[in-house]
Amino acid sequence: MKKKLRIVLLILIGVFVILQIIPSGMSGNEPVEGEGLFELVAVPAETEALLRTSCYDCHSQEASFPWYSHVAPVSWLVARDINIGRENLDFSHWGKLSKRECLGALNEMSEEIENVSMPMPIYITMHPEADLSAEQRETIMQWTEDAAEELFGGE
Amino acid sequence: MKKHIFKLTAFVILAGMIFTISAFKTSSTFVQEKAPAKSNFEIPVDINKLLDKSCFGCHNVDAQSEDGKDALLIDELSGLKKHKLVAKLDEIAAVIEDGDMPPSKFLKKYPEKALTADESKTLSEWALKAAEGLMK
Repeated sequence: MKKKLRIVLLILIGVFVILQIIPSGMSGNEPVEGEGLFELVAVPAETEALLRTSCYDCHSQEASFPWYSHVAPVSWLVARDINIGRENLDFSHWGKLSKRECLGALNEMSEEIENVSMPMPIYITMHPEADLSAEQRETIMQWTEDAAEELFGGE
Repeated sequence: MKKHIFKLTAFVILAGMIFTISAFKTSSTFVQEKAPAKSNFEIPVDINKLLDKSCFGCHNVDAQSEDGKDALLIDELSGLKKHKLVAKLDEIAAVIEDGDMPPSKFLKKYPEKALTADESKTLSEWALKAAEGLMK
């Protein structure tokens, strides 16, 4: 019985080691100077802090990679979320967006925050500090409204 | 004779004044009726037909689908601020172009609600053009 248990354990360890060889597809951080949101737009300090804490890990080139993000299979999940997040919105490449794309991004941000779709629940589980209170959500939404109106040249 | 001429002139002036005032009243009423209450945004009839066929069911204020209502309310588009309207129109164009809307699950149940390739093109081109117009 003990021998069987030892074999199962060895197989499990073997599989775990083999998993580490499979690449996660994780992209590193590649910020471009002069293209970041905070370099281009005057964002109130409180809003900047909220965006950095709750959004920047997946939506910028300033992601922090905790130790477990390098261990498969968690690394696969983290890589997927970061890649999709950056594809949808990358604050570090804000300067690449046209005025119209910025309006779209601000509107989507506001909707995701209002509908409590973002930050993703699994991210909040691992980063409880990223959870946003109703008041903090309102702060971000108000900023998106102000920024969009300013971009549009006042209405 | 002089009296007659005087009366006639007075009558013509009075008639002219009444006509001018009534014409002014009519034209001001016309302007008021034409002026939109909230926004200049109007959906053309042919586009409205397409929206009604394939989108309105889930994207109106009384719809059952919460996701649909969260994403878009067609009947409230004209009340949106211009920057929101631009974003919404671009979003409409994008989801139609990508074939994400109407959702395939919905179309399995209601195949008659599907947009033809031409209809999709008409709808997305209208949305992009309308957004472009608002940006000017």
